[in-house]
Amino acid sequence: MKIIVVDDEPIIADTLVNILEGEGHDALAVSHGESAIRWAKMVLPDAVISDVIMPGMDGIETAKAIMQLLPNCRIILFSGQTAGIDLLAKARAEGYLFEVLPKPINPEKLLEKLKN
Amino acid sequence: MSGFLPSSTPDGAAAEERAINPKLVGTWEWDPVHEVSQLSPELYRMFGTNADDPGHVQKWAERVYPADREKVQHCMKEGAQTGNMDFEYRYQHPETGLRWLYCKGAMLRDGSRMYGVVIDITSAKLTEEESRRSEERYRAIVETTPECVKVVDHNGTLLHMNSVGLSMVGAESSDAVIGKNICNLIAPEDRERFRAFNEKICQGEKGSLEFDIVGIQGERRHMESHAAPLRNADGGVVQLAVTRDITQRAEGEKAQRRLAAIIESSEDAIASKDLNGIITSWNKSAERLFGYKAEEIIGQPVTLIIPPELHGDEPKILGKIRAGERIEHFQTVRVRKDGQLINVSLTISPIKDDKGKIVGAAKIARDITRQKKLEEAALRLAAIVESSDDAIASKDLNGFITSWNRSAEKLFGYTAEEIVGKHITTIIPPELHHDEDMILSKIRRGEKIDHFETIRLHKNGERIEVSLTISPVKDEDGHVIGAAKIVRNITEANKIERALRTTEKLAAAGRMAATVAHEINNPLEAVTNLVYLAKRDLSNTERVTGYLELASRELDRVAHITRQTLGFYRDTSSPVTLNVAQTLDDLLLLYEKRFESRRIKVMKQYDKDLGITALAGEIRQAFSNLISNAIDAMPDGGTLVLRVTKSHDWSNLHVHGVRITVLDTGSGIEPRHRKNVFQPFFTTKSDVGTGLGLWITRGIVEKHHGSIRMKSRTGQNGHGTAFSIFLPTEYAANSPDASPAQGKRNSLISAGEPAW
Repeated sequence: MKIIVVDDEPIIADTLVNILEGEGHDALAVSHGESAIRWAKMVLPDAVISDVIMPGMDGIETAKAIMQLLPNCRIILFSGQTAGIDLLAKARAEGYLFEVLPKPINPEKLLEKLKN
Repeated sequence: MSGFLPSSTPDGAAAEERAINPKLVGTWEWDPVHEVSQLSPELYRMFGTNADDPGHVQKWAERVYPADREKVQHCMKEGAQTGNMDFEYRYQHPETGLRWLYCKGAMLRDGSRMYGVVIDITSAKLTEEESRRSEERYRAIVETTPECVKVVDHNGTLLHMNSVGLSMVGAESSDAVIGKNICNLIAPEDRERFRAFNEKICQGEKGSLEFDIVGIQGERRHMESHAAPLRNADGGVVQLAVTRDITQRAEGEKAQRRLAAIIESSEDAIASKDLNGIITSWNKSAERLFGYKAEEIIGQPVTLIIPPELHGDEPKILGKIRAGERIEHFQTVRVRKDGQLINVSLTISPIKDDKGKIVGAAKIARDITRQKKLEEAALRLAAIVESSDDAIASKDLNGFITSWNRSAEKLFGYTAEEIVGKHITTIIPPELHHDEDMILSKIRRGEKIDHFETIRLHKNGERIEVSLTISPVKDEDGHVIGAAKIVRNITEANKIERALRTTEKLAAAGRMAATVAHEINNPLEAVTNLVYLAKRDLSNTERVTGYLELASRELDRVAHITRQTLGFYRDTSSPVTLNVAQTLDDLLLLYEKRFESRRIKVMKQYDKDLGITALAGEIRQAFSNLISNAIDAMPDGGTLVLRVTKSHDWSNLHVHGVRITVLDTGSGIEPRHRKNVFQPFFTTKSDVGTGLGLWITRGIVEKHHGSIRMKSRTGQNGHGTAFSIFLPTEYAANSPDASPAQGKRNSLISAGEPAW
């Protein structure tokens, strides 16, 4: 699987990439929504795992843009706080349905999710 | 013949006469040996005798004035012996009457002949006599005049002084002063003036001068001198002065001036009128009271200031005055120049002349309009006090209650009858009795106590939260005689306020929870991943070590944040010393993520060593509110400036402390909102704010005796908002002097509060 991991905290993005690569995925870490979209256009990922609260473009906006680009790409959002709920509700009102996993995520559960 | 003329003239006037009228000069010669004399025809004419008359000598001798006969005989005899004859005598001329004749003769050296001359000096003698008599007359006048007459030369030397003058200066004889400098008698402060005056007179001017003298006996008198220049016999000009002792008059004038000044400066209007009711005097207070100037009303009838309907009073008043009666404290109405009516109290007394005849009336008018108004105002005030919704009471300086209004009855349950006369401690809880000593001591110093929040007791024992405003009550002389107390029941208000504060605290806690969740969950996410990787790569020690190191660092981050957060709402009730810059840095750590996500640049301008003593939890809350507001103000990024500088109180330069400025580059607060930002429930971000943050912040700052200010700019060129807090270095303990409300509030709030 080609996966892009988006988190403004490099240590989170890097460790996740490391974990995914260990399971045989082709993973790439970026720290902004904008660069996630740029890379998505180029690598056409099967999945994008993104943080919600980020400087600049937030995870929801990023997810919306990628969904428009790649309707078949899986989007997994994860967030450290509940503030993301507002954004999520807003997106739902616009017709986008996202699932947000709370941080910290058990890596095994994440890998499990990717398999389904 | 010239040798016979007298070589010296005994008298200027006679000499003149001889020069003018040679007919009055006759010559004679006498032969002492033969005792024969020969007379010139002029001499015969002067004697009224004839040379042919054998008895002419006899006739001459008979005509010599009887009183002078002896002198003539003696002088002739002596002249014959000495050879020098020189005498005057009176002679009864048969035609021209009594003449004065002057005879002068001299003997030749050999004694053979004596030549002589006789001169008629009658007219000169008469002039001389006249002048002598006149001088005597003047001297008598000078001597008998009741004033000091003196003559002073241009050097100030006293040439003459009459006996009155001598007695004025206390001299027993003229020797004591004549020939001496008169300045010695002039009072030292007047000497220079007197010298100048004397000089002026001696230069030919006339003048008058008032001065003091100090007599030989040391007695001081006030003198008035009128002086004129006088040409002396030697041609020099001296001062002739008539000087009067006006000590009495000056004293009298002084007394009169003093009286006039008293009248003029009297607070009461004082005027006088004659028996026809015409105003004759008018003092300054009268001008003030009635609005008329003295010059416009003197000479006018007094009815000018009497309202028309009271004109009938005036004849009655004048009648009483004519009868010598006095009218005291007659309360009536008068009219000012501007038509305004005034209440006055009049005291009118008759004025008598020297002979005791009544010639007018003196009138003292006191304006009692104010007094009447004061009485009315007092009644009005009493009504206001009685009907006030606030409980109002007063007490004396010993704490005994002296008054008690209806609202006080309602608030405390005691009626006025029950409590007036009781001690104030009746309504003070026992543990607060010491408050009363402090309150009374402040009141005694004349100080006011504003909004002192404390607890009082209801009659039923219930505790009432009250706000007291206590002012000293002063008597007319400004002495503190008691205290007036306004009591407001703030139990309900405090309950509401407490509820609001709790709400904001919980809301702040919620906001914090969200922030903290992010700050904790992110590192935990990293740790979870790292632990997973460590387990996966267990055989690769090097890798595992790296993962664990990173995990450890992330856990430290969690620990730090947890410590900060837990400390955040631990509301310590006792102040601690905290470093302001450090406190801000700890807070910034919590907001780091939000700064990043919003692209907010943080600029710190710290004076790093500044510390204050404060309630740490509350200060953190205050700072955090400002930082959080600044972040909210910059949704699209910007710069947050945090400044910590040494400073002093804006209103009291002696109070030192720290100023903390939190500045954002957001869009700024619109001018119409600016005055409301510290009001509770005011917010422009209804989605995130409760509208309580700045209100709480200000409360915290004021509790610390600090102050908070806000500056904001909107518009294209430079916008943003700056909040500036001043906090004093020392945290002052609470007392009624200093923001009492906050202290009580704090203690009430912290009880039973969730220790978030």
